[in-house]
Amino acid sequence: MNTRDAMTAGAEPAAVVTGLGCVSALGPDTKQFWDGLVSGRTGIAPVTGFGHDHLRNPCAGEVRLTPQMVEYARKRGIESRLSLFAELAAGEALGGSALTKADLRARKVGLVLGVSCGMALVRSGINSMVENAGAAEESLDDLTDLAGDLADRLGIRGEAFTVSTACAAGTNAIGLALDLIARDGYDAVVCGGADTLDRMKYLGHSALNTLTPGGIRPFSADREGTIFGEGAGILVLEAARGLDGRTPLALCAGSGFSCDAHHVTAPDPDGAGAIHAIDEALRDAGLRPGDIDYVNLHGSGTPHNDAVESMALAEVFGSAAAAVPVSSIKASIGHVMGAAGACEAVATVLAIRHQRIPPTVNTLEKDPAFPAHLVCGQALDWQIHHALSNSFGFGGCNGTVIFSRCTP
Amino acid sequence: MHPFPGMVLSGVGLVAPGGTDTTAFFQALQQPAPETAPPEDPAPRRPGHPDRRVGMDEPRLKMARYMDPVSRNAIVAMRGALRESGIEEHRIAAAPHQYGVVLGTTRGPCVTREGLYASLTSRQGKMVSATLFSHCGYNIAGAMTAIAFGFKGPNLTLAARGDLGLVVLRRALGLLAGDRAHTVFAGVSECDGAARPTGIPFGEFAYWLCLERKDTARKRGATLLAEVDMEDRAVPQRHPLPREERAAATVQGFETTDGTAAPSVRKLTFPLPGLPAGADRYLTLFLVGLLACDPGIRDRFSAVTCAAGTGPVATRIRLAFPEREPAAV
Repeated sequence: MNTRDAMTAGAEPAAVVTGLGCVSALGPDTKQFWDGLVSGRTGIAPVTGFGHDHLRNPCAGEVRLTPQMVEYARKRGIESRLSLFAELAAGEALGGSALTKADLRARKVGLVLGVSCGMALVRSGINSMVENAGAAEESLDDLTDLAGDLADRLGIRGEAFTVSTACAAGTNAIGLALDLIARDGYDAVVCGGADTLDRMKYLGHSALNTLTPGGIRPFSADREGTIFGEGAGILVLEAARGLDGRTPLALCAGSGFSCDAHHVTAPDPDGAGAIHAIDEALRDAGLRPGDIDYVNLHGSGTPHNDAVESMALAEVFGSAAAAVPVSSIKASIGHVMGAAGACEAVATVLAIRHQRIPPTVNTLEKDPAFPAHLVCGQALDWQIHHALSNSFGFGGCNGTVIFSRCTP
Repeated sequence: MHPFPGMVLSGVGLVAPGGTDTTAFFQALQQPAPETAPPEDPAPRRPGHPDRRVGMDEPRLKMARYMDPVSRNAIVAMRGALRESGIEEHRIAAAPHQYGVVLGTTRGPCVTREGLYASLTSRQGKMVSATLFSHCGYNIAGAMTAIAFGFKGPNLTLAARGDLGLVVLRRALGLLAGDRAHTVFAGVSECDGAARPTGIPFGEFAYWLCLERKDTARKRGATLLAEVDMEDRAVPQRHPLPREERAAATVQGFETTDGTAAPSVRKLTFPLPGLPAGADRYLTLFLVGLLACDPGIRDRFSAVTCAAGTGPVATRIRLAFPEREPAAV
């Protein structure tokens, strides 16, 4: 039963959000993440983990490891920066959900983790951001154990797998988790994404010119590219039937998937893939475009991606596009790649919880060619019943997820 | 519980060290053939790797020559799956968003990464090849396959411990059950990295199962290999799953046309002796294809039931051969 039908019939929707976790350049937890977003702060700064020579931009949304994080990694025997971020965020999310270890043992609980390249190109170590000398040094290129190890540490006993769909991975992970609950009978799924920065990725994006030489200004007329970040965003999705009196944070109403099938890096200029992902999410949720009160943009700040996303929103929302507030958080934490969709989902759920839309930092004025109502400057208090979050990745992989406010 | 009812298998395509012949592949899985290069081949293949020229006979596929092997092989294997399932280009073009891909991979495009490191070295550590970098994503094989054939539905690349093939299969059927596409290709593409420090040859292969909603397949007049029913055997339990845990599958039984269990069961030994090195994690995918394509099984039985997976994913799979449905009891 989709969200609309459920709400009409007074029945329970399939899945709800009960826990959130986030590690980002704004801080090691969700509170610092949200406070930073709505204050208009940015965690983007000159990188300390690798040298700046030959890079198109020396800045990134780097996670500064606190002594507590380092000690946590040492005690837990964690040697991968990516695993550290994922576990910290997952731990926070599970703590917020109030699911106990006994619950995880007794119920059908799974894990879906999104990641892009992860740490394939770098050496092991929680401070590691320098590339391997060659393929013979690769030790973290095999994704086999990434999700399984995390599931073991958390005490999760159900299916645990990684989805690697570039910058759409986090959103795709949430969509798959929703399906596991709605159709596979799972009681709960810990889902989201994690990713890390390294010099090789920055050299690669410098060569591709996806990195802006200046600041990241999503949906601005003078946008020149993106800036990358790292971290993790994790949500606990649960079947609404198993809440036992706990109050959910939001409903996870629907998701959509698509592929541009156009080019490895450039989006389909027609926006057909993006449109389809948004349409599919709306269909899955049983909602109409007019029901959406906020769109958390992919908003990477690249000339082509922003233009295509704007076109897609105009196509889906029609004349109402100018009235729906939208914003991108990538100028606050950077484009966190495989974790982007998940961190943005956390932000979207918090926007619903607080009825407040975080601003698009750095963008003073939106591109006049875009019809969207871009929230910039400062946070906007807004009545949000349903909110949508987009993610578009290399390889043409697209994902959209919709969250809805819980009615008392 | 039957979480994925009403799905069918309509085609199989692959690239393996022996080539693209599915019959030969499934026979080799059960009885490995010696790994030797054909005498007329002046450049012998590496053990566990297919001839790099295989499948490069269509102008459209010639572009695949320059790709990472995981992408190239995935494209060639997909061509075979489309041919076997009878899905023509015009059908895909008419409804591209109805065609999805779920791909399993573990190390991704490791040959491309080798090239990326080399490009950095050759440029004195100052820059890398933009082309190679853009092809380093784990989803590159799925993406290039979608580009080659115009698939615009869900495109997912997955990795997991244990029986990755079963995870891929379940997600593919899940997409169909959720009406996210009417045709989903579930498969794998893996490739050995020559510099792998362990020195153990991994092998190189790509493999696709074409899965469709039954109503869609019947509407286009497809020849069905099998109907696929799947249910969880039990609530998944991890204890935790050991890192070295391997995929396991057993054939539980065969049914004859009158619905009774077959008195004599053709034995399949596990692990399949001819399984490519490192491919045991895809055992369930290969098993489904083998059982559905083997005429010795299809001609004798109406259905076969398997138990697949260990630890977190324990699933019962029943393949029914449509033309030999058991009579009502």
